[in-house]
Amino acid sequence: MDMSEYKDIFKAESEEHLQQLNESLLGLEQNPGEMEFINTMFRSAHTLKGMSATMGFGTIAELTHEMENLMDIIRKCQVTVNDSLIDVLFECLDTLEALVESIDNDEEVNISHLQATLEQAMNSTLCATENIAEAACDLEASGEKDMSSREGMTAQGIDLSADENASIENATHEGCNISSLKVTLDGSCVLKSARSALVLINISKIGQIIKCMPCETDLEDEKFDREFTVIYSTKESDEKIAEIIGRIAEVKEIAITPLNTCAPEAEGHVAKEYPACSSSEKSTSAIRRSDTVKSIQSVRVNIERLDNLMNLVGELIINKIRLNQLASDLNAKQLDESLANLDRLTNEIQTEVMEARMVPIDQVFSRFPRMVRDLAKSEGKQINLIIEGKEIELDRTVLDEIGDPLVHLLRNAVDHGIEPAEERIRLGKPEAGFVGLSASRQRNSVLIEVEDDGKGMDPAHLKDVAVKKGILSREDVDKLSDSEALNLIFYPGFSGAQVITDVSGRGVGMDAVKTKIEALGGSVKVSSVPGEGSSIKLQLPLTVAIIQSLMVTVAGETYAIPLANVVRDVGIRTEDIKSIEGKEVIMLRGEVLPLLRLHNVLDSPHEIEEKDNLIVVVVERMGTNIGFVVDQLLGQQEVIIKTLDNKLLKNTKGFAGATILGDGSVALILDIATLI
Amino acid sequence: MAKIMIVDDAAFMRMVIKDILKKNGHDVVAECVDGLDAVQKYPEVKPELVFMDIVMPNMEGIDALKKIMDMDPAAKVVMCSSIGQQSVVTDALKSGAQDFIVKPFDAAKVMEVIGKVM
Repeated sequence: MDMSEYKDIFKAESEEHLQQLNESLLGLEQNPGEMEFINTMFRSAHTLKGMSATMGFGTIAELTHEMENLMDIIRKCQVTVNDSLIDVLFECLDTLEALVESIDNDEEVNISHLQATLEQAMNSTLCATENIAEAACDLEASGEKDMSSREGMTAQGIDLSADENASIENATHEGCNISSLKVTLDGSCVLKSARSALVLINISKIGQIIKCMPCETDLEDEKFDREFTVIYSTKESDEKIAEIIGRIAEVKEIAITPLNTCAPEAEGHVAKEYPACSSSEKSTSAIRRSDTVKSIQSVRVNIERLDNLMNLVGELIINKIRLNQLASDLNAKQLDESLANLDRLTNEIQTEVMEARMVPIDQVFSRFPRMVRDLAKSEGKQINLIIEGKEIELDRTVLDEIGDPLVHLLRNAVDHGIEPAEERIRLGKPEAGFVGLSASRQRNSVLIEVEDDGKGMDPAHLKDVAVKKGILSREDVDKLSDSEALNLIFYPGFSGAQVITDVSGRGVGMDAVKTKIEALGGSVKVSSVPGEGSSIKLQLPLTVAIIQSLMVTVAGETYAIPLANVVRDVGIRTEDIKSIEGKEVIMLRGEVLPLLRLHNVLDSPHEIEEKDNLIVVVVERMGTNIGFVVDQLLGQQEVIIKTLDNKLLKNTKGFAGATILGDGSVALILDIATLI
Repeated sequence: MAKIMIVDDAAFMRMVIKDILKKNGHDVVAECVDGLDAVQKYPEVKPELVFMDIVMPNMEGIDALKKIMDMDPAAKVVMCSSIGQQSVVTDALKSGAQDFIVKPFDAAKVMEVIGKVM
């Protein structure tokens, strides 16, 4: 069977189970005696085992099998798991993750070392438990019993106990046939014990089993090859027995040898052999089952499909706008009603598609407990991570992008925010630090907050660092208010920590966080009280496919400025423009606002005539405001982003994409973060 | 062609077995994500055959089997087991399961079991 087509779903579902395993293991670490975590882990490991065996991924199956065994021992013996066992299990999960990850490239991952560790952990767990010692004793005892019961059998004849002989006599008196049934199972039969049990269950419905060879315990323990023999009494004919057994799958052959002579059709000790017959044709008049078919509630859809769908909806909306414009140009009143309908329908489709793209934020949040745990452990800190609002939904594309920024913020909180335990005690704070991660839905956006009750950020210290690193002059920083000073952390090259650890110092600074969030059309706000903690708030749009924009014209071209960046627009007089170090500025509400002529920034070929009155759009960038001089404001509009992701335009800076306007013309969407 | 209900908490396993069944002309009338789901859907769907996974959250396969057998003593349930579950499978067979298949599923085996059971 070709399994490659199942790879995607296998991977997706395995990842879910790994997540579940991780969560349960974290829970178990907190409450080592809680059996529900063990049960959940057992189930997940078991499911993964079955799935990977089906896919033919032997290594995953092997590892999950061992984990399942370990879980089984733990829950059967009520073992309280210790730290070393937890660590081994985490290692198993990491390895499994790597294994699942590598199924595409056929990489060999060696797990023998891990298996050895796992086995060692299992043995030490076993040693620690007295229950197990007893259980092992029981096991040995039953083994001995089996051996003794087997002694009763001889090579040729059948040794029967007094009881068994009595049963045969009784049965014979009642007119039953006594026969020996030799059942041979298929070579491909995997669960022989259950298969033999099924044979025994089915034949005992029409007769009585007097003796089993090997005995039932041995059958259950699979202590037999392919054959077993049953001494059996029944009033039914041999054909009936053969039919009953023949209806069981994986039975290769049945040999029936009559043992008592009183049965009329007995032909001495000649065995009749029946090949396992295939099922008798069932009459079509058999019970007509109800025709009601319940549909399946959900399907998995590739994200690419949804992207395409979103794109198509975008095109549809653009065409709708064009149609609206044409209708008004042509003054075609007859079209009004159907256009209004079209309007409503496209809006509904847009909402539906956007909803379909929404996924719970938990998909990103769920990996953080593990991360924070590892981080806290490596730094010897105690941290309570409180997560709220996991059920809040976000567009898949936004969700994919916020993972890294959140990792950075959480690392910062653990690494730089929370003080070491002894310092916290000295300060009268609870020994375990608090790190909060919460999501909440605002009207048209989602707010994510990362907070901690650590040492907070000191504006004076931040100013010093900024000067030392040459980011701003002493003169400049002195002008900053305390809250403005906090924004210094977003400058490229700024790192608040004196010592760069291997944890936070990975080259992703707060500037990268801000750039990423702003590229998504969101914003970042920081607040902090020295000694009490910090909080970083990320405001994110629900979707990135459609953004609110301010439409402007510059040198005859239309541009869209994302509304998230726009502070306000103002009209100014040319004569008010002043010059500082050869750069144009204007005093606005007591602040110096640098001015940029957008047609210069965009290198527009058209000459612009000097006017007395200029329109300025004030945008916010890196915590400071900049004024863009534009020719005309067209108004606010929802635009559908078409990304510039083809080879030629991929590296274009300054533009977040393009959009098609109602009249069919193309407008570029400015990306303020990279434009200047 | 039989009307079959699949019970497995893993969507992946459901998909694999469903494809096997469909390729061989059977009709998958319902998919259940756990035992509880199966017990609820069984009377609505009235399948001719149920493929029942054993280890599932909320309600294990063996409990779902017992509940279904209580509802409909003529129900035909085939257990889907993994290696290492002999005792549970044996219990299930004693509780009325018609047969069992073992993961990883082999299409021919699945069809053999259906042929024998139906």
